[in-house]
Amino acid sequence: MPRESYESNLQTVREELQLLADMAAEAVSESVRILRDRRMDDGDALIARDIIINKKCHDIEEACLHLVATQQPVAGDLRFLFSAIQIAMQLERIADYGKGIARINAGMPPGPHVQPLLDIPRMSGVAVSMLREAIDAFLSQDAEAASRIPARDVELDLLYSQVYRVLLTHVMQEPRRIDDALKLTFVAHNLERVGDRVVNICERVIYYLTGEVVDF
Amino acid sequence: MTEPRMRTRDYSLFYGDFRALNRVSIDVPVNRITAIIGPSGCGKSTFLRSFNRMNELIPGVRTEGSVMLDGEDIFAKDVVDLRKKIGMVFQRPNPFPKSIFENVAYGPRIHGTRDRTRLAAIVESSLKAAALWEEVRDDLGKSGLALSGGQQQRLCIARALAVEPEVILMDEPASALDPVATLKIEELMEQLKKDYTIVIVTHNMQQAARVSDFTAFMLTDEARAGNLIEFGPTKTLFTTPEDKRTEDYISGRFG
Amino acid sequence: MRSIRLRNLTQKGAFSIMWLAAALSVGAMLLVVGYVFVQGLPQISPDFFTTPPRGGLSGEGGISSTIIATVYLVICTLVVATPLGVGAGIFLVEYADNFRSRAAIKLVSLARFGVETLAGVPSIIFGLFGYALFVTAMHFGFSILSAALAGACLVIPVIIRTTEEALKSVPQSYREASFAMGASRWETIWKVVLPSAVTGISTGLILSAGRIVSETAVFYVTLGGSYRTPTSIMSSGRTMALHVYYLAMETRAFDKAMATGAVLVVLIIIINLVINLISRRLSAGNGRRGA
Repeated sequence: MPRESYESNLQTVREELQLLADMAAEAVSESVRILRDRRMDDGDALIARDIIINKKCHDIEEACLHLVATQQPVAGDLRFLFSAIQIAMQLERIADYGKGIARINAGMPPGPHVQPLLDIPRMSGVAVSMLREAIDAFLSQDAEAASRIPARDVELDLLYSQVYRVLLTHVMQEPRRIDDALKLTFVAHNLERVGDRVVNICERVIYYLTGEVVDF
Repeated sequence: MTEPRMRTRDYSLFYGDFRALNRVSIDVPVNRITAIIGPSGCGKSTFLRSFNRMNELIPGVRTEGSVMLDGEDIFAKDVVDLRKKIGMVFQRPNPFPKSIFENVAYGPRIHGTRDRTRLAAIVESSLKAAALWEEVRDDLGKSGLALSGGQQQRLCIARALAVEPEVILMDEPASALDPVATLKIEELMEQLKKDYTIVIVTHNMQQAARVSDFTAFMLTDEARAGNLIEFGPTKTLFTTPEDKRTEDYISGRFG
Repeated sequence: MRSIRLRNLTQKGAFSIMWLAAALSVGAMLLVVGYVFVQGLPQISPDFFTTPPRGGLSGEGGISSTIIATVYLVICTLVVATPLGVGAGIFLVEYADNFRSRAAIKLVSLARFGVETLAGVPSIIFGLFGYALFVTAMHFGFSILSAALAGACLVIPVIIRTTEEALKSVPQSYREASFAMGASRWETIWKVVLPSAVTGISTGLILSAGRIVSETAVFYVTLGGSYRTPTSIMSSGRTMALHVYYLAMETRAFDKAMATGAVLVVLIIIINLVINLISRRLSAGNGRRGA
């Protein structure tokens, strides 16, 4: 097969992206579990692990740049490498949101929340499943699937409004814990932003597979 | 969108009974660089030579379809007149074994210019347009063969420019040159396209991508005839080609 | 180990044999030339070149008339042979391959075959032909004219062949470049191809001159044997080569024959030196291409 080492380099980029996506997804869902179960030590560990995720993102970027410089990729290959760099950046941001949630958790006093968390874990589930689907679409080159995912962002928006309303009501009833309630809205906001990032990823996937620039 | 400078419609070429080019239709835009790429033997040079009827030098060649320059059928025109309007630069630099001056003056002399002052002016402006004047102005009597490869090729370009053509055909003009000379030729093409329409055949895809505004991709079919597979703006062809065969070729996945 | 020794021996053996062959060849040639020189040199003086031979049995006199006759003959032959030979060569190389009709292509290959054959025909045949046609039938008699015409038949194949080679060695790219600028076929030949081929063609002409100087059979039957200085194209005469024959066979002056022979040899050497010079300039010209 012509250009074997080039092909295997491209394959390496795909595998590394899959890994990075897994790490980012894990960071988000784990951070919400940590928040829910108030596991403070695990929170510190997750924050520390963010460095590894950043490094992997930079490694992927560098690998793509090298391939562009040395292999003169064009057309599909070029769009792939370009999109891979951008998607890596989005994944790194998503992981940062996870780190943010863990930080918020660390900043809240130990003990139960203003009310048991239900919608926030639900948001995390939706966001993470969107993320995994988007990466699958990218790696299996399924433009169709990629174009269906952004619609689920609506779910996240609805859940966010709900979380906000519930917490607002709670604050009015129990003004003493307004600080914790606000922090929880930040968490929900982070998760909503994860959804936005996934939509960006889907736009990149569509560009890679079809050459079309879309805005969802 | 202005009228194309040259246009072919369903153009086929035969060596005796063998079909070498199969119904190629292309519009060559004016004052732009159009590149023709494709694997070896796909007919790109043959197609290029059709524009100035150089294939007629081969006995037994027959054509079908039309080729038009500014709307006129080139086969109905006088071939000498046609070759004045369409100049050609070849793969290996081929200056005549004469002086630099005589090389550039050859074309104008053939077409009737005798006045020495006029010839000198033409030689100077052609050498300037070919970015060679500064390097040779002090010794125009030197033999053309005494120049370096890159300079010789620019001399051939000056020679082609001296008859004031509208179109310049280049058959792999830089493939026999080192990288520095190649870049000089590419820069020159960028300058020339302001005043001339340029069609270039090249093996070097990066060169086609760097230099051309439009690209045509050709391929042989099972009958070994050359076909036009895709034609479009270079930027588009190299980022989102329409045909999978184009994508495979430019990504190096075959041929 | 043994095979290496054997290989070395074979190498040395082959070398020695080849060396011997070369030495013998050169030696034989030097012997011939040396003999002629040694025998003939005493007879050579300024008078030798300026007085004509006096005819008769004694063989007294010099070779002035033969020198003039030789020069006259070379010029006349080349005047006839050059346009015909060079023209034919140009036709065969530049025009002949472009015919499409089967008949024309056949004719051209027939012509090529004819040229090849003519080059190998024994020269006496040309002599007899010249005698029959020019001397007798056309009533030119024994004359420079008859000899020049017969001699032309002799050298035309040589000129055609060298012209062909010279033209073929002009790169096709020159012609292409010229056509691409709108030049016609004849313009291309006249302005680009011929100027490049001129050195090669000249070599052919000088080679022919050498052939004419050395030739005896053809001119024996067309020139007659007059020892007087030729005054016009219809005069009879004798070339230096023929004079050697006449002196040797009809007079007692064997030494004068050797002397004439020596002059001839020197002339041939000079001609060959000139050819060498021109060929060297040819290859130097080609080698001067830039990097």
